[in-house]
Parts: sequence; structure tokens; C-alpha cells
Amino acid sequence: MLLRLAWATLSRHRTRTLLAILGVAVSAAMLLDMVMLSTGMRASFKELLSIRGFQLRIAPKGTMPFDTDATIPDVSDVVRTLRAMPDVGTISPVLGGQLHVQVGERAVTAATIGADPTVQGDYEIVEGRLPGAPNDVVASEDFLTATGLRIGDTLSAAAGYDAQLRSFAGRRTLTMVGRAHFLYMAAGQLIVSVPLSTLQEMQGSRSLDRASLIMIRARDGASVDAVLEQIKAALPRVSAVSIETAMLQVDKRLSYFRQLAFILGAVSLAVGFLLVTTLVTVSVNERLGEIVVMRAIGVARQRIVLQIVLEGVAIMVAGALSGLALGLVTARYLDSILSSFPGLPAAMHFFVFEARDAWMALGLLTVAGILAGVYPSWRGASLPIAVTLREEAVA
Amino acid sequence: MSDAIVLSASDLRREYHMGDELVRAVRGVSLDVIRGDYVAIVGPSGCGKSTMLNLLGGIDRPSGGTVTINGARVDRMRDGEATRFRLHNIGFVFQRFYLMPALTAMENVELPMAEAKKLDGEDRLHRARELLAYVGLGSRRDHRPAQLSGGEQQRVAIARALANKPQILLADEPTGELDAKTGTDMIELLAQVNRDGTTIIVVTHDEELARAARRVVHMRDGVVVDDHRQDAQ
Repeated sequence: MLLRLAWATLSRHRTRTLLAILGVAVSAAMLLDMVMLSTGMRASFKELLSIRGFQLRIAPKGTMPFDTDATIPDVSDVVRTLRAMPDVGTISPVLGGQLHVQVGERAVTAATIGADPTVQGDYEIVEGRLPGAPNDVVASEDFLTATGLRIGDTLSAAAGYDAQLRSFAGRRTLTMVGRAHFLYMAAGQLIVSVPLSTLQEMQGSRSLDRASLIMIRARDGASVDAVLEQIKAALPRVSAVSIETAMLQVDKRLSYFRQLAFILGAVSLAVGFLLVTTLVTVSVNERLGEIVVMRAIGVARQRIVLQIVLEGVAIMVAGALSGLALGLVTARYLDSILSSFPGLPAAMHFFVFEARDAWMALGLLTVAGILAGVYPSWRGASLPIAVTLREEAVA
Repeated sequence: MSDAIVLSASDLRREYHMGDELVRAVRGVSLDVIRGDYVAIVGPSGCGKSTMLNLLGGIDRPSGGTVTINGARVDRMRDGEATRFRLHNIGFVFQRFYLMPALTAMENVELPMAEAKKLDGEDRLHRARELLAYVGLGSRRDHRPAQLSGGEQQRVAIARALANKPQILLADEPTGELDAKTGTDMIELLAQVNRDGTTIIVVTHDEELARAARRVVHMRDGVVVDDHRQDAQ
């Protein structure tokens, strides 16, 4: 009966109730987006790092992977040392660089990854095949579109540009063997990949036996932390990070994002709370007579409290459910804007939906709904019956 | 009618402050009401009759004196206890009906029964239908108060007051908002309720309603100035 009465009371002023639900929905959408933002970027980054199963990364001393142009010297020695470790499984050295491709009258510059095609963790072949020969190259869709090249075409490429000599260290004729999806590339970025030794040779002496990064998979069943410690002990001239330690760095760098999300989320929650408190208080003030008569005819004080709280919760929950849908739509839109920031991997997402985020937003709004009903319900339930009836009669 | 006293008020007083002024609304009223009686409390506006009714029904606390209903000291009850007592023992009818506008006539009548939890859903519906038929609104049970006339709303209010089979029905100006014809119908309905065994205490300005009662208590300035029995018309 209380539920029916709460529902009927809300239905009595449909427009007002709908507007309040809409207000809460906007607030809930904002709250969900902020909860998604506070956890999504981290979750997305972790997923990105884990996508090909490489748990460890080695970068030049004092840097994070691809943080600078620095490279690891004597990389074959490093690889030899790593191979000697029983718990190290796959080792994939990666060199970053640029290739300049002549297409008719114009030159196209592409970011280039030099990696062993059989163990690399940077791309997946979408069409064609992996590079099998030293002069094979695979490229992103955007590169193929920009150059008009197709699988099977040859291209003249140069690398290792020296600004003083105005010349390239190496030139080759490469064969396009595949179209690839590059996992860490930014949206619209032109990118190709050749075998590691090819890029090292093309870039000249400054890149010989060097890598920007070494990606490592531990053997099945091996402790990643233990492998990390072994690498740190055996190779003090490089920086080794596991996904977990990388995430700690990410956490530090993203802390302001989380703070911002927390503050905006709290504001959304407060707005929703105040909106519902105001609405329910107005509603209670309009029916003081009804409320005291309920008490007069024997309805217990706690039931009146419950009924009024239910009204607040009903608005909050209805608003929250609508807001969750709205939040997902706005999160997708905002994510598409933020993900297109230059330099960010296109696979990186700022807003990642996780069921627990929705539950958290719904839980917070439900609690806010309960709290929003506290003041008006206390007011309604504590009205002196006789005095209120007298005042109502006078009014 | 048995002569057992169902309600007894002794030296009942109610004082309150209105600004700096101390208002003595009820000043030492004593009243015994026997089971099945029909009592009309009459008097000029501000004489304390509504305050008296509130004190008798346990919705206001006396400044002094006692109210006993069926041996229970209503004036001493804590809020929750008094609410529970009213639910099971007292029916209220107000001048302005005060039905829940969001509920249908049936639901309004069901409300005290749902609170009392003595009947399950089906029995509750059955009794609500019976009561609405009793007050002549069997065909209007799915209407909301806004769809009913004043007289019909007051009938629903009476059905609601009778929902938990109270021994006493307290009515504050039940014909105050009704036209003469509807008021007459209401007076007849209350008389019928009384004939069916419910003790009624009614506060009224309405002389016709007062003439329907068996006993008339005149109040003035917070005291009883006359208390006499009459042949109910």
C-alpha cells in the first residue's frame, strides 16, 4: 500500500516528477561518466599493454618505453643475457624510427617499427602476410591510402636522415606484403613495420645493434615479479618495468584526471541530491494535511517516513536508470573526442564501461535518494497533528 | 445500548501559547460517554470543542486531566502507542474529508486496514467493497477523490473511519463543507452508523446534526455549560 501511495503521489504531478527524473538523469549520466573516466583510462591502458601477452618491457635507463628517442645500445648482448634466464619466454626487441617513401613527386614520411615479425607485439595482420624477407614491409590502412600502394607493390624507402649532410643513411626497395592493424598507433597515423635488422641497417651507425624497447613474455607459470627482479639484477644499464609497475607510473600521471572526475562526480551527486530533496520537500509541504490525517487515522510515523523516503528513492532510481543510458551515449561521444587527441593510441579509451561502475553510480544515487528523503520525511512525520489540522483549517 | 462507559475525560485542560498570549482552550472538562451513545458537542467558534475532540481522540496531548478509552489512559500514551490505539479503536472524520487524493475510494478505505494488518489482501478488498456499499458508494469505488462530490468524499471518509471496526467515531464538523441536502444525507448516514453500534462523538455548528444526537454537550470558553440528553430526531 505504501508503495502504491508513493507511486500514486508521484504520478499526481506527472510533469513535475518527469522533470525531476530528467534532472536526476542528467546528474546520473554525469556521475557515471565521471566514474567511468576515473577508472576507464587506467583499465584501457592496462588492457592495451596486456593485449599481446608481453608482461615486461625494457627501456633505455631512466626512461619509460618510447618516452624519448633514446635507444638501448648493444641490444644483442641484452637479448643474450635475457635468453640465459630460464623464466624468460619470448623476447621482442623493437626499434622506432621513420621511413621516407617517395610517391610520385611527393615524399611521405611514416613512423616505422623495426621488429622481429614472428614475435612482435605491435601489430596484427589484417590482410596479406607477415614480413618474411629483409625487404618486406607491412603498413597501416592510412599509410596505404596516403600512398596509394597496394599489397605486392614495391616502394623506394629511405631512413636515417642526417640534417647536416642532407642525406639518408640507407635506402631500399621494399615490397608491401601486408596491411596491418597497429595496436599502439594514433588515429590517422601513417605507420609501417619492417624487420628489426632492416631498420637498424637503414638508419645507419646510430641504430646498429640498438633497440628502443624490448618486450618480454615470461614462461607459463613463471612469476613475472621474479623475472623482473632477475632482469634488474642482471641488466642494471636498462630500465625494466612490468605492467604493474608501468600502471603505477600511469596512476601517478593520471591522478589529476581521477581528482577531476571525483570532484565533478561529487558535484553531480550533490546536484541530484538537492534536486530530489527540494522536490520531495515541496511535495510534503503541499500535503501537510494529508500527512497528519494519515497519522491521525493510525498510520505509524515510520511508515510515513518510509513512504516519503520511497518517493525520493523512486525519483532517484528512475533518474539513475535513465541517466545510465544517457551516460553511456555521452561517454561514447566524449571518448571519440578524447581518443582522437594527437599521439594517443587509437585503441586507448578514456571512458570504459564496467558493470561495477554502473552499480556504483546506481548505488550512490540510491543512497542519495534515501538521504534526500530524510529531511522532508522527518518534517512530515514530526508535524503535530492537532496544530497542523488547525493551521490547515485556517489556511 | 449498554450503559458501560467507553470514554471518560476528567478535568481535561489544554493550554498553549499563541505569541505571548496563553490560550486556555479547554478548562477542566469532565465527560463520560457510554457505549453506543451519540454525543454532539456544540458551541460558538473558538469555544474549544475541536480541541476537546482532538484530546479525546489522542491526537493532542492535554495540559492536565485524563482521557480513558476502554480502560486505557490515552493521555499517557507515547506517540507510537497512541497511533496504534487510534488505528484500532477510533475512527476519525474531518470537515475537509482529507482523503488521499492519489488513491481511489477503495484504496482510501483499504489504507487503515493495510496498516492494521489484520486482514489479508483479498479480505481487505472485500471489506472495503462492503463499506463503500454501506455508505452508498458501491459504484464509485474506483474513482479518485477529485472525481467525487463533497458528499461522496465524506461518505468515503466515513467508510475509511469504520474500516477497522472502531468502537468510537469522532467527527469534526462532518457537514461543514456540505450543502444542506448532502448534509442531511450525511446526518442520516451517521445516525445509521450509530444505530449499527458505533459510539459517535461529533463536534458541530450544524443544529440539524446536533438534533440527531442523543446527547448534546454545550461548550463555551473552554468549559461545558450544558449537557443534556434529548430524543434523537
